[in-house]
Amino acid sequence: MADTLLIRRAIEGDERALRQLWSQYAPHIDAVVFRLAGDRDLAADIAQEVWMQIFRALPTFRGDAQFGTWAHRIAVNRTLNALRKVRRIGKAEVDIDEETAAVENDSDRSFVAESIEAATARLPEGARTVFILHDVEGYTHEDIAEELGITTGASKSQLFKARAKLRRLLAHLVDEPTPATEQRRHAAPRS
Amino acid sequence: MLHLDPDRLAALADERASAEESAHLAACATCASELAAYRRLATLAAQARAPLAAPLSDWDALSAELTEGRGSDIDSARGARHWWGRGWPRVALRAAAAVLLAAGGVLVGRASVRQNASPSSAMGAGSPASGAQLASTTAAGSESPDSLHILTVRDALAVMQRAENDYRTAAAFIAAHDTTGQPDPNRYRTRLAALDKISNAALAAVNEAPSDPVLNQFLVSTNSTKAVTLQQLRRTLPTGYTLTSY
Repeated sequence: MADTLLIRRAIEGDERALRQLWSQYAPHIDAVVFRLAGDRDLAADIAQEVWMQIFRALPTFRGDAQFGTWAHRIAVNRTLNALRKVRRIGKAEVDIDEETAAVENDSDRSFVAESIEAATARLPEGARTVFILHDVEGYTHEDIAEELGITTGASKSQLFKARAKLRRLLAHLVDEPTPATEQRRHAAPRS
Repeated sequence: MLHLDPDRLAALADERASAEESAHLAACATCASELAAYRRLATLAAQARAPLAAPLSDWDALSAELTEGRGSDIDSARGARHWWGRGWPRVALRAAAAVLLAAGGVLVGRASVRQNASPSSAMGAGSPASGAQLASTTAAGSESPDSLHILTVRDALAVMQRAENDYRTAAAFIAAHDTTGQPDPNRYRTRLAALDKISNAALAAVNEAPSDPVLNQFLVSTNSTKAVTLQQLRRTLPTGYTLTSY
């Protein structure tokens, strides 16, 4: 069923249409929530609230954007609000530190996604949120500034610091093998 | 040679380098390699935007929350139509119950009129109550949601479904056992013509609001009554005749 018809039926209260919307978009929407929350249990709770918000706001959906884009926006906004309450994030500047956070192993996730999740979990909340919003979700610094209540400059600063740290944490994924390292790798078995 | 600042290299993953920076990157393999690593990081980050294999949210819980009209602290007053709003499902249920009772009253009322034409009726109706009167009487004596153990909309819908099933069973019983007096095919034809009009109006309403449970149930009830009346009309036909129109 086309999204427009599906959404119309959902607005009219057709539970099957609501369920179909949820089935179609939940893997994407819940993934956004999970990436931002970084914790499966917390993300599950927030995802539930996000979907309630999406369903309640459905009558205000005007079709200016794709439903997925519109719902994604709600998901990000709602998740950030929930995280603010939980973690009191949103302070303008957060220093990068070496604190680690627990990362849950999820066999559903690809190796790259898991590696990035594990690495981003080691970032302070502010930098982590900016990195996910900008580099993963594709938000602009202006959007991020508005969502987080910070300046675009602060958003950029957080992002570059996050990238610098992630570049080190994910060296095994992002470094190109140099002739020297290749040589060492080949030479290793002999030593 | 002074290398570019790590934050600046991180920025250059998606920002344009100045002429001076470009010249440096062309000459410095270390910085060029670092920039390549940042660009790969950006590519990996974009790839991390993958859907989950299974949602974290739970449909059953969402469905329950929607029908309950609970929904945490979300602003529900945006001036939009909210079918799951707190108040209206119960109002709709009351309306549906009234429709069902009135429809039941119409059928049973007609049966009562006919019974009263014959004092020996096995149905034992007391007075020649009209359908409306019967509906009104029944509604006045109806039980409260509490006594029916209705705590949620789902409970209420289940009660409605049971009531409708009971109604259909009773109507079918009347059709099968109402042998008082001589069967009058014209009466059934008149009833069917009226039911056709009601059914068409209900169908048009359902087409306007395909998901409206009240309208759908009204249409189903009307069509059930039509089916019962058709049975009664068929029984009036001489053996070997098939009903092709009414």
